[in-house]
Amino acid sequence: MVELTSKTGFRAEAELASPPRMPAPALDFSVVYEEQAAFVWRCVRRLGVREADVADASQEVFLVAHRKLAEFRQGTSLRSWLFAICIRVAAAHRRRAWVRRERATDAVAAEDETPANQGEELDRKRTREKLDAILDRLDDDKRSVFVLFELEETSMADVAAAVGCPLQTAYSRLHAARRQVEAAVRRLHEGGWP
Amino acid sequence: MSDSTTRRWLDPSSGATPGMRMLLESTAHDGPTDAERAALRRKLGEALAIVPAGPPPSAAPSSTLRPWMFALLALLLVGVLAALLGRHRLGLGPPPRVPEPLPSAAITPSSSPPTPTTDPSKNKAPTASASAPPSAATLASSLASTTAPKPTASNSTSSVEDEIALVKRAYAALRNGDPQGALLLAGEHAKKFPAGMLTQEREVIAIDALVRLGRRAEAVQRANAFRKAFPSSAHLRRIDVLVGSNDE
Repeated sequence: MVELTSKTGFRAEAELASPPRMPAPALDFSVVYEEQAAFVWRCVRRLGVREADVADASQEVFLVAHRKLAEFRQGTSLRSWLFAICIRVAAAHRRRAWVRRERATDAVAAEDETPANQGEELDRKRTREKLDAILDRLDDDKRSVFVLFELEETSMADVAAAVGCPLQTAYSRLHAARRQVEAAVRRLHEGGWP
Repeated sequence: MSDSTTRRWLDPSSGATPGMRMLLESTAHDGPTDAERAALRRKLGEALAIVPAGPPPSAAPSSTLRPWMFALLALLLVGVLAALLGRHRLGLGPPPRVPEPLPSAAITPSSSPPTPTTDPSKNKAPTASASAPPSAATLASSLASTTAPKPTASNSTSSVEDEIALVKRAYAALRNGDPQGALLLAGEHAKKFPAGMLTQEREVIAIDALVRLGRRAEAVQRANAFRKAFPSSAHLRRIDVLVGSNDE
């Protein structure tokens, strides 16, 4: 039996008692869900899945996770494993969503007509859309590293494990992503954004 | 280079501009609301259907998913038993079908109705062992038999109860972390009830057990046979979850 000893820890603190070369005992899917639902939800959102599709994408991630749970290698990071699934599911969603982009744009336009007294929430949404637009310009590798390090506050060692690259490469991707994001923010400022 | 030298931009001491931090802070509400979490949990519960994966319940912390899903099979089995008992007591002829949507192609009774028999062990219909998955034809034949009236002694209340009990035992074995036992019991069911009314449920249990045993190729083979035999089964979603929708 594997126990997730920390509800917030990045690593699944797995204690494996089965003999070598035996199929690993399955993680308790319901525990995985309860502990990682918010993480998965946030990640698919931050990996570019539109707000309206996040629930479906999260469900897909967990269905894949459920199906492949027996293949999860004990002793490795559960979140890294889930994040890798998130990357693939989010990429598929983005590909499928491009035809719906016009509709999404229409929705934003309609929202722009909302009276300004909607206040902070509307401001936050617009800011969030700006960040989406910036992150959308990053390639998947850079975006994944940026999201995990800057937004999920994951250690770089775990980031590297999650995206499957050497630590130094993860740092390189982070700094490349930062440069792109900084340039985009500068352009926003030049355009009058606060 | 290390995390300590690379400060996150959300860290006020990182030197990131206020505008940059405002951008990043706009993600603060990216997580699901309670309602969204509940909806996701419900949808997952529906998608994962009858038998959830996982270790024995005694070894696991309490969960909100598993009891809900376990209850599905329990309700199904209890419903079947209650319906059968009620019909037999009322002297009604044909036995009921498995209480789930049946494939339209398979609802047509077989051209040669099953021969009545008083001894289930003498039933000559093809069998499916635990290790050798039944073919699609075998499963389809089973379904045709389950949908055809069989007012015989082999369909007595006791044999129906026996079948339900056997599938329940297989399910319990799976639930208790004994996929090998579940597979053996599924094989026993296939031998004793080759035309049983819980053929589909048995197959789902067997496929689940094979997956848990790491015998993926066999699980996929058995799942493919299931798909061919029961192309519109309500259990297909569960099968897809277990082995993948594209036999991956």
